[in-house]
Order: sequence, then structure tokens, then C-alpha cells
Amino acid sequence: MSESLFGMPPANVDADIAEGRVALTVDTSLHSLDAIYAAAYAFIGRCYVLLERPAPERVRVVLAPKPSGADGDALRALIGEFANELLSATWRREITRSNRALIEAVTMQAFAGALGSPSLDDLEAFQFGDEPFEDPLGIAQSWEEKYRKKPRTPEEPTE
Amino acid sequence: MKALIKVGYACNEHCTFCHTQELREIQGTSADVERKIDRAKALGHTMVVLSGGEPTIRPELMHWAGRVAAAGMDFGLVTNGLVLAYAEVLERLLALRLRYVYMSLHCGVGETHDRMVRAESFATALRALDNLQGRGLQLTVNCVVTRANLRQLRSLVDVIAPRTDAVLKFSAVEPKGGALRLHDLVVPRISESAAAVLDALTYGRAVMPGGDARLRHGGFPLCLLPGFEHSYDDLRTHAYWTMVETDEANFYPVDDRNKQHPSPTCDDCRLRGPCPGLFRAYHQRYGADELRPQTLGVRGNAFDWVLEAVDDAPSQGCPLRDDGVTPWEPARHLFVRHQGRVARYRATTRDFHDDTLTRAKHELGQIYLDASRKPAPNDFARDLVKLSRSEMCSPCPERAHCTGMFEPEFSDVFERDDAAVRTRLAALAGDVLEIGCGYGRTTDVWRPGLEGGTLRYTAVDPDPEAIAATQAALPAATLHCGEAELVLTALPTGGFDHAVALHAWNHLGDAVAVIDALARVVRPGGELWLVDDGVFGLARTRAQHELAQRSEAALQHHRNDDAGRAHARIAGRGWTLVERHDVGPTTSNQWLLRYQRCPT
Amino acid sequence: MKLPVSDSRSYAAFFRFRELGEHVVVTSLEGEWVVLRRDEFSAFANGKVEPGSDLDVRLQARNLVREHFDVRRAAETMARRRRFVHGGPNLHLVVVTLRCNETCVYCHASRADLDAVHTDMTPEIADATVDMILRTTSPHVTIEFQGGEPLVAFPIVERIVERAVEKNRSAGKQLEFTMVSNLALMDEDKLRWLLGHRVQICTSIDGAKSLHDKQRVLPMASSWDTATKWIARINAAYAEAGLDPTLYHVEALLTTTRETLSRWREVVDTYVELGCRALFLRPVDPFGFAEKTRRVVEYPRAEYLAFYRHALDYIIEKNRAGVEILERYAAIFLTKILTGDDPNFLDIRSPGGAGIGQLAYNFDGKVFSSDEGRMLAAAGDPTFLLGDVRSSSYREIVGHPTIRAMAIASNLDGQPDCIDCTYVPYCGTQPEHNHKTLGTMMGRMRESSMCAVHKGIQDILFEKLATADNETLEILRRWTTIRPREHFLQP
Repeated sequence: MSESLFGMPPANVDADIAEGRVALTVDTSLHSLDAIYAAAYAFIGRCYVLLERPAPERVRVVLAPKPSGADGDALRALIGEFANELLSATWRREITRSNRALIEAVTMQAFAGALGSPSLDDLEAFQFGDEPFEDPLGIAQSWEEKYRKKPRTPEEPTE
Repeated sequence: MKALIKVGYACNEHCTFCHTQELREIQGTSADVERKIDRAKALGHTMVVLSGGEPTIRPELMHWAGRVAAAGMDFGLVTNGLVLAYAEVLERLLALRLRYVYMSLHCGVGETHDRMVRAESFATALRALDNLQGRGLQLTVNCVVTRANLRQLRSLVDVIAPRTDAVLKFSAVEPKGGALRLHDLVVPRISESAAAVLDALTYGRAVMPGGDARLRHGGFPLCLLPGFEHSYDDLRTHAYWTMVETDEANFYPVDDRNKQHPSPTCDDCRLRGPCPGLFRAYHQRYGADELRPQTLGVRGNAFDWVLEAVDDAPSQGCPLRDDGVTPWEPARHLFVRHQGRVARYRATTRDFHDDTLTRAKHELGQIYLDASRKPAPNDFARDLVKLSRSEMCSPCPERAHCTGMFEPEFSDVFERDDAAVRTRLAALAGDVLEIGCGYGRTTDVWRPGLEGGTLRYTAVDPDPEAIAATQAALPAATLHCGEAELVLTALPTGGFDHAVALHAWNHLGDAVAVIDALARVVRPGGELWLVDDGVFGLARTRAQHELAQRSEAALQHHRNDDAGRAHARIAGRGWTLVERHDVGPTTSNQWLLRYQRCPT
Repeated sequence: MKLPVSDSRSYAAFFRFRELGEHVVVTSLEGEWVVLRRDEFSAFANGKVEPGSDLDVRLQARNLVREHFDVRRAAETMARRRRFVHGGPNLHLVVVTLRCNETCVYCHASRADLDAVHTDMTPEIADATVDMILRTTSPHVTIEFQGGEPLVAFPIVERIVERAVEKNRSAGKQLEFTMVSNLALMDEDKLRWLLGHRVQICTSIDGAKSLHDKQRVLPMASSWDTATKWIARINAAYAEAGLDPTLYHVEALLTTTRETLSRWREVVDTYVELGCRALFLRPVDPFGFAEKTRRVVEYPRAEYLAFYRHALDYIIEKNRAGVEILERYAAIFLTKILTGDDPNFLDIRSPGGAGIGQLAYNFDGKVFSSDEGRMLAAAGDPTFLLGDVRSSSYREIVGHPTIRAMAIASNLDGQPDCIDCTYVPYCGTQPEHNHKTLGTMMGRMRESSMCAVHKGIQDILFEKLATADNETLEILRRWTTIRPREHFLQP
């Protein structure tokens, strides 16, 4: 039986206390699927997590705590935490996108510094190879090889 | 620190402005490039950047990158980028420590770009640029500004703006090679191209995510790009230390010898240190009328050589001569030998031009080792140890073009030069006027004369704290707080026997106005004493350097005149020179000029 | 107060701000800072600062004025603040045994009874651990012995020290050793050996005798009496060896439990009496004890911050009276705030130090991101297990996907809240803490007790910087100058 939980908008949150599950319906124009997956994944240790598509632009996330017997308060706390985690995941995704270059640069430097140069053992499985690369589009041909045979070359610059 | 190796001059494009156009047939051998990679490692570089011509069309590309990586260095490319449109080529290079790409793209309108490089390459270049995103590379997109793309620079801003890993740089075209051959078709007037670049940079500032941090320019006089003076970009800002052309045997320091700061236009400009000036060939043809030198504004008068390495000195011979002197910059490197060790320092300052550094180091001997732990040494006699060219350099045939070996000289030039001036000032009698008295360094010189009744002392300084301290030390002095130019107007005509400016000349906002005002207040036959400091360099550890960088000491110099330049300003303004001491290798950095007021 | 509208013509360069009573703390992108009065802040944010005024000069000096923004200086400052990034793991925690002779109220997963000899590290694992440690790229290596109680497995400590010193002849690291011990099993022979091998000795002191003995139970004896007896003995031995006692003395670690909170004065007095020069007022961490114990020792963070404020004020008072003792949290943050350097404290940096700055080695050869990661595993959560010294390569350990995830998760540039926080240039988060308390490595800072502590402490420090007299400022400044203890470096 679907019930509402104190303080939670019934249009988004519904619970079945007897069955020990609670659900949040998410508007996918507000939260991307990536963010929904990220938030949902953080709960798989504590809950069984099910995703449904009740309508276009909507994802319904159902959380069923693994140990049974969760009461209304526990379900409310759980779905509240999920909503916060979802907002956090959405916002983090935005921030990570705008700061991506900085984060990647720092991470790469940290790992270059901590890993150091590979030893011979580390390199055993890696093919360096000195062979020249394949050039199916003829990009690496010299200008003379590629264009001199043509009847007409692009023009000299003009104003 | 990067080393730039030009592997040969062949290319898969044929740019109209290419400065190595006559050399396209020259290709370095693979063995030669390998030897240079090994040499770069031995010289202590951390990255090797291959350039050309176009380095990526060489079949040995992977082999060279592998050799660089195996030597524990990072790898970089100066390239038109086309080959990097192959994602798998880029993957292989990234695995071989590709960390830096300096890529050409000359317009956001494909037709114009293709016409400039005389190849159908715009779409391929964009594909490469997209491949290069998100790989943690130091990525610069370089646009050479010619008459062909001058009016379309904003289009390139639009192309680069969403590719957020890339920094966009606009470069002035050098009248050399292709650009010289087709001069009138290719090379715009510098004021015209700078205006177009300024427009594109301003547009970029508004529309590019990251704004100024992603915008650069190179080869344009800084005075023509107001608001973007700090966005200059050259081999040094990219941390290139040395480079080697295909036909050269050894590495040479990077320099700006193909450019110049026309004299006298640029002599007093505060932007001169980092400014590229004009290409010599351009200046020959058009002169310097387009420049707008910035003569006002404060600047530093000292710079640091920062410690990079210390090695044991060989028991015999010279480590520089034995290993080849060419990689070391005569102005910017400094080797100091002491007690069996050789320390290598390097000056990265852009506050001064190479010429100023060379003069301070090699002509005037104004190099000191900072033995203090202060942000700025203030007791030179105790804080600084003079460094002089080693005796071992005297007979060396490489002396003229070598950075030189220096050794500490434990003679106290500061105390000696200071004492000589103090003794003579203490003997002055009558009415003395001091401009910029400050407090401390020479305050006590006047006390015997004041107390003995032989001296009446008047002084001017803009700093109220200095005035208060001086008044407390010399109760009988008459002190005025304010800018000298203003205070002097209120002093009586012919009221003084001597005017002195001690370490104040270069601090004066309008020095010539002060000199003219002094001509009024000093009696005919009276004297003017000018004592001031010239530019000098300090050898410091990195910690000392960083401490100094962090300190909040404000820049106070409005110019860096030596005795000659100061005299050139004063000559013909009613004073006769009677004594002149220049800065030189055996003196401190203090110069002196003494004048007599001409009879009216 | 609303966030000021920013446009390209505005006066201010990029800034973050936080209101503190009558003042507003403003920090720049790169971590320069200034504390303004409210009227000054309003002028700053609204671009109404008189050119050439004192305020204008102060703001320019802090690189907060758009027109004069010094990009190079900002870049160099940012680089200096993150100089540690390249460093590689320098702190290596080795748990030589889980066995311990004391029973502490807050310690659960980190100990075993004295008969659990199977929790001693074997010689083979000890050797492989040393070999792994010396493969680090960091030129500085600190090996810290933990337990359990390391003195219970002293032969393993000896073996590790001797092997590391021997192997380091070719590795050439700047090597030092630290041992964290309750000292109850110390004797003169062990002490002589430890001193002879330059092993720095640290212990735990929870406060005055009554509190210490209550929280750290030693069967048949007072844990306080044994610890303080040996502190005095070891300090005397350092002095006999001619070492400067202001630099060389036993440092102690505090665990702040619920009961500590009201006893701040007593804690500080105790540390001063014991000759300690540093006190680290760390809140109890959530690792390694059972839910039941949590209710006994845990407390709301607001109570902790009140405790911190009292204790810090009292420590400053002591300093004003001529006693030189510093608070470690304050010293870490102040070093970042006042000097622009980073002391590389691994739990308060961005990205955090897990894996890329430190590693923890368990008695059974398992390698973890940190001691916290190891404790979580002992409590049944192996999230932060990276490999085994006997079968994993160094690069597999450090390049482990978990470490990559942690480096990104603890990079504050990707953290909601943090990117807008005034204190972000000085702060850090710990993925293990987030994982344990909030369910993900990233955590949610609004709900994070660690964030509350870091933010609260920095509020207190900035209040001090804004309002303290010169003498107090000088004391705070002195805390940022740390003299190296070179004697503890292996020759």
C-alpha cells in the first residue's frame, strides 16, 4: 500500500512501510541518468535498488533495505539521504565537467609522481615498437609528394 | 626544462610565411637526432620537444619518442598536428610520455587556413585538435597573423573556445624565408596586426571559458597590446632552455637576437624586460614609429639568479670548457666555484632584458651572492658577497662567448664606496638641501655639522614616517613631507649651497623637473650631488628567491639610470659636470655625479 | 548578504567570501586572503573602492583587484600550494602486530589479545614490506611502526629498521623511523637500541592520569604511570646525547573522546607538564570501534569545536606566559594560510594523500591506502585494500583503480560546496572518512563531520587573525616555522 512520508512530497516520494520499501520518482530533465546511476550505486551496500521508467522523462528509484523491518522513520531517512546524494551527484557532474582540465592535470601529475618510471618487469607486457605508424590517408606525406603532381596548387594569399 | 630539436625542414604543408622555406630539402639523420636526445638528457633537460619542418612525418617518430621516454624525459611536439588526427598514433605517443603539443592553426575559416598553408588540411587539423582534448596535455594552438587572416582572427577564437584544453596564441609573422620573399603579400604593418590581435584577445576574454588564462600572443611589442601585457608567450615562457637546428652540432640557449628594441624609442620603456621588440628585418624596413613606449611606472632594480644544481668541481680543467660552453646562456646562467664545488644558477626574470643582464654581469660585475636570510638584503656590506670572473677564464679562448666561471671575492666594496661618499658629505658646510632623505642610511652624516653649527640642513621626503624619524634624530633639521617637485616650489630662490640626492634619483617621478627646480634654489656656483644605485643581480637559493617573491616590498624605482644616462638627462640644464664615478667591476653598484650650478 | 554580481567590468578579481561576525574573510583563487570590515567588503564587492586608498592597496597586495590581477603570481602560488602533488608516497605505516597489552575504550579493530601471535608480521613479510617501501618515488621516506603495540613484536621492528637501512644504501632515500607505542613494554635494552638507531618515539596521552587510566586500561598497573615514567626517561636520554631538548623529546598523541571535552584545561596542562611541544586536538575518528562504543566516545561536532576554542585560547595563553607549545591543527592550517606553503599533512590536502602520499602495510602483507583503510578492512570492509607485498608490484599498488578514484574524490576542485568555500585553498577531505560516514568516497560536505571540524577550526583561526593583538599573531606565526629534526634522519 502506498503511503506518504512526513515532509516528503507525495508526488515524488512514496513508501510501502509494511513491505519495507520506499521510492523516489526523478525528473530526468533535472537529473541525468549518469547522476541517478551514481547515486543509486552508493546505496547497493545497504539496499536492493530497482530502477523503473514509469513515464517518459521519469525514473523511479525503489530502495528496499536489505535487513527487513525498516519503519517509516528509517525509510524517510533513507530516501532523504538518497535525494541528497542525487543532488550531490548531479552538481558534482557539472563541477567536474567545468574543472575537468584542472582535475585531470593534477591527477595525472600525482600519478606520474607516485608511479615513477616503469621498471623492465612492468614493461614486459607493453609493446613500444619503433615501427612507423600506418598512414592510410597520406597525411604524413611531404607536401612535395602530395601536391606537386597536382595541376593546380592553392593560391597565394590575397587581401 | 625543455630542449628543442629541429629534426629537419621537410613538411606536409607549405606555408606562405614559412621562415625555413629555403631549407625544406634539409633532413637531419636519425643518428644525429638520437645523439641530440642523449645530449639533452646529459644537460639535465626534463623534456625533449621535436620540431622541424614537420617532425611527425618522419618514420622515426615513434623511435625518437621511445628514446626520449626511455631516458626518463617527457616528450613534446611543435607540429601542424595533422598526423595526430590518427587517434592510434596519439595513443602510442601518449604512452611514450607525450605531454606537450604546440600546434598550428591559422584561422577559424577553413578556406583561409588552407590557403595560408597551401594544403587541404583544416578539417584534419580540427580532428587532431579534438583528439588532443582531455588528455592532460600542455596544448597551445598557434596562429601566425599575416595579411591573409588579419580580418578573421575572431573566427579562430570561436573554434578554440569550446576546446577547453587549448591555449590560443597569436604570433607576429617574422619577415624571413617565405614571408620575406612575399613580403608585401604576407607581412602586415605591426600596428595593424596588433590592433587585430587586440580585438581578438578582447573578444576571447569575453567569450572563452577560462578567459585570459587561455589567451597568449608572441612577437608583438607589448605597448601595442594594452591590457594584455602579461599574456606574452615565447620560448622562455614555455620553459625552453636550449635548442638545436638541424645542421648544428650542439645545443644553444634560446635568445631573441632576431629582434631588437629600437633606441631611443624603447630606452625608458618599463615593458622592455619581457617585450620582444620588433623583428630586425621589420625595423629596417619600417622604423619604430608605430611603437608606444610606456615610460611611466615603477620597476625593480635587482633580479635573482636561482640555484639549480651544485656539483663537485673537477680537480683539473674547467667543467664548462670541457663539456662545451654553448648550452649555457651568457646572461642567464651563472656558475660559481667555491671550495671544490661548482654551483649553477639561472636567472628567469623577465623584469629585465637579456642586454641589461649581460651588462650587469659581464661589463659592470654587479653580481652578488646573497648571504642573508632576508626577503630583501638591506645591509649590503654584510648581506652580499661580490662575485668576480675567475682567474681561470683569463687565458681561455672561449671567454668571449662563455657564460663564465665566477668566484666569491671577499672585499667589502659596499662599505668602502659608502664610506668614501659619507666622509665627503660630512665635510659639507653652509645650507644643504637633501632630496629624498629617507631615514637611516645617511641620516647620521649630518649630525656633526648640525651640532657644530657649520651646517643648516633642509630635507624633503614623501614618507611621513621617515620624516618623523629623521626629525627625532636631527632636531635642528628643517624637514618637509611631500613630493620633491611640489615642495621645491615653496623654497627660496638661491637659498642653498648644496643639493644632494642620495639613492633618490631613480625614485623621482619626474627627475628632470626636480633638476630644473634645484637650479632655481641652489646658488650660482653651488653644488649638486647625485649618488644612486645601478641594476644588480643576486645569486640565491630557491628558498631565498621564493621568500623574496613572497615579500611585500613595493617596487620604488621609476627608472634604472646609471651615471651616463642620468647625465644625459641633466646635460644642458644649467649644471656643469665636475666629477663622475661610474659603476664597474671593482666597485659596488653605486655611481656618483657632482655638478656645479652655472652662473646665471 | 547576497553574492555580488560579477561582470567583466567589476573591480574585484575572482574571490570567495565568508562572514565571520563583524568581519568578512575573502580569499582569492590562489589562496591569498584578507579580512575586511563589512563596509570594506561592500565597497570591494560593489566596485566602490577609492583608487589609491588604503583598502585599494591592501586588496592589490593580495591580488584581489581585477585590473591589476597578476596571473603569473597566481599561477606560481597555486603551483607552490600543490608542490606535494608530484611527491609520491613518503609516509609508510607498518603494523608489525595487532597484539596489544592495553585495552582502550575507543580501539577495537586495531588490536588483538597478547596470545594472538598469529597477528605478528613474519620475517618474510617484513622483508617484502621494506622492499616495497623503498620502491617509492618519494626521496623522503618515513616508516612509522604502529600496532597493536609495536614493542610486543620488537624483533620485527629491529628487522625492518636494519633491512631498510641496509637497502637504503643503494636506494639513497632520506629515511627516518617513528614508533608509536604505549611504552608499557619498554626496557633499557630496547631503549638503547631505539636511540642507537635513531628511531623517533611517540606515545599516546589522553589527558590527566584519571582520564588516561580510565580510557587506556593496562592490567595490573597504571598506563599513565608507565607512559610518563618512560617519557621522562627518554627525554633525559636525548639530553644526555647532547640533543636540544626543545627539538628532541617524546611527542604524544591525544584521542579526544566525549569525556575529554570538558577537560580541555587539564589536557593542555598535562601536555605542558610532560614537556610536549605540540598537542594535536584531533576528534576521535569513526574507524575501528563498534557501534556500542561509538555512543560512549562520540559527540556532536559543535561540542568539539567549543572544546577546541577553549583549548586553543588556553594554549595561546600558555604561550603568552612563555611556554612554547603549539596546536597541530592550527599549525597545519596557519602554515597554509600565512606562508602559502603546504606542510603536506596527508589528510588535509587536495588531492588527499591516500596511496599517492602514504601507504599502510598490515601484519599479513596486505597493503592499504592508509591506516584508516586498513581499520575499515579489519571491520569487514575491504574497499581500500590495494594488494599484497608478496604478490603485487609497487606500480600495481600505487596505480590501483581505488587510488585513482580516491585522488579524484579528494580533489576539492570537483567537490560540491568545496569549490565555493572560502577555505578551499587550505583544506582537504579524506575519502576513507567519507566512505565510512556518508557512504561514498566523495561524501557530501554539508553532512560531513570532518568538513564541520575543518571549517570550524578555520573560522576560529581567521577570527584570531582578524582580531588578535600583535603578540598573539606572533605566536601563531611562530607555529608555522617548523625546525627539522635532523638527528632522526638516517645518516
